[in-house]
Amino acid sequence: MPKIPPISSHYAVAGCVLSALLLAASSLSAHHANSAYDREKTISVSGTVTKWQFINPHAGIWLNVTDEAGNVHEWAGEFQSIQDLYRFFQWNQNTFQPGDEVTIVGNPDRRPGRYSMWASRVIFPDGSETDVRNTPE
Amino acid sequence: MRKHGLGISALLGILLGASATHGQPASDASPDISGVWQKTFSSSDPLVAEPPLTAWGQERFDLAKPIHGPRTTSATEANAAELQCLPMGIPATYYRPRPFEIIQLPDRVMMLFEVDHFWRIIYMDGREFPEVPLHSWNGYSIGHYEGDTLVIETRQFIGWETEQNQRWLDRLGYPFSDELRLTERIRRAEDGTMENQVTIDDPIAYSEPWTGTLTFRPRDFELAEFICQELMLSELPEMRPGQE
Repeated sequence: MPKIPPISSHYAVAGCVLSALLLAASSLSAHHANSAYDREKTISVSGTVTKWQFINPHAGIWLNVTDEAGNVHEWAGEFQSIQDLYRFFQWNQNTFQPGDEVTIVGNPDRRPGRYSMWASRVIFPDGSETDVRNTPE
Repeated sequence: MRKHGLGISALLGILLGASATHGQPASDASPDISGVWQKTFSSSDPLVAEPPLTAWGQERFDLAKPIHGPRTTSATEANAAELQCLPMGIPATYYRPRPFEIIQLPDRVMMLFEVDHFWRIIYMDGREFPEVPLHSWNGYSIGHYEGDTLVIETRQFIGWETEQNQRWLDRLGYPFSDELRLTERIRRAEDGTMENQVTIDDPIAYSEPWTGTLTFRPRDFELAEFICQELMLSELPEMRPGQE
């Protein structure tokens, strides 16, 4: 069984449904340097889970997110492999359910008009947060 | 020709037997390298800084569109065979970030890779390579111990085939041919890591043999299931060639 406890902390969720937080670039340890995502930018989106695909090579989450103009877009968040998510964070196929209100933070697709990101952090409905980059050495 | 095929029952027997001997060296004279290991290096690290490519090798290196390293290409445009769930071969499989387990038996060493549910058998019974080669994606491996080191020779790989489906020594695009003769020298280092000194002898792709070292750290993991074909089920964007 995994011995590493989840990294959780209470986190004040901003009220905005879509906030683009342009944070300082950090070197991410994700094993894929997939050029589709802009590692220099970090964004955050909040919405309602529509789908959770807990399969390899990378897990995926989809959220319905309402933008400032009131339009709803379905965002896709790509995570690392399910073995890492299970071993280090105890995630599984039930971690997210349709209807859950969550926030995902990560690197956006480089191309305009694409609603997808390489997801690195999640804020759960109870306010707890998991940073899936935090895998132990 | 020596018969070397394994039936399912024989393989099950090996695996069941292995569970009883896991953690034990094959004999008193054998170094113990058993256990679960995971790489310490990045998928963007080359085996050596500048492999001595031949013209044949350079031409294919230039055609490579990898999904790691300085020439990273979007998965929808890349030509890495791993994106078609084809076996990567050795040493490329070591570049996947998933752990693998080494099980030492008296007459063979098993490597069980989490990634793609790939297993590898290294025959330790003194046999020679088969006279009539059966080409395989991962080659045919025989081995022996030299002091604290497991020495593995692997030949009869399926080498570079097409521009659309490329297999490399790593995840950066360094090619290999059918003529690849791979030598691995694996030992447990004093700091508890495991070193694999990999020598590439491939006169088609490289002008001279060259050697790099891969290092692994022990892991307290149970190996999990990792089915590559789930890639085809993923609805995430940018996952595989040809995807919109």
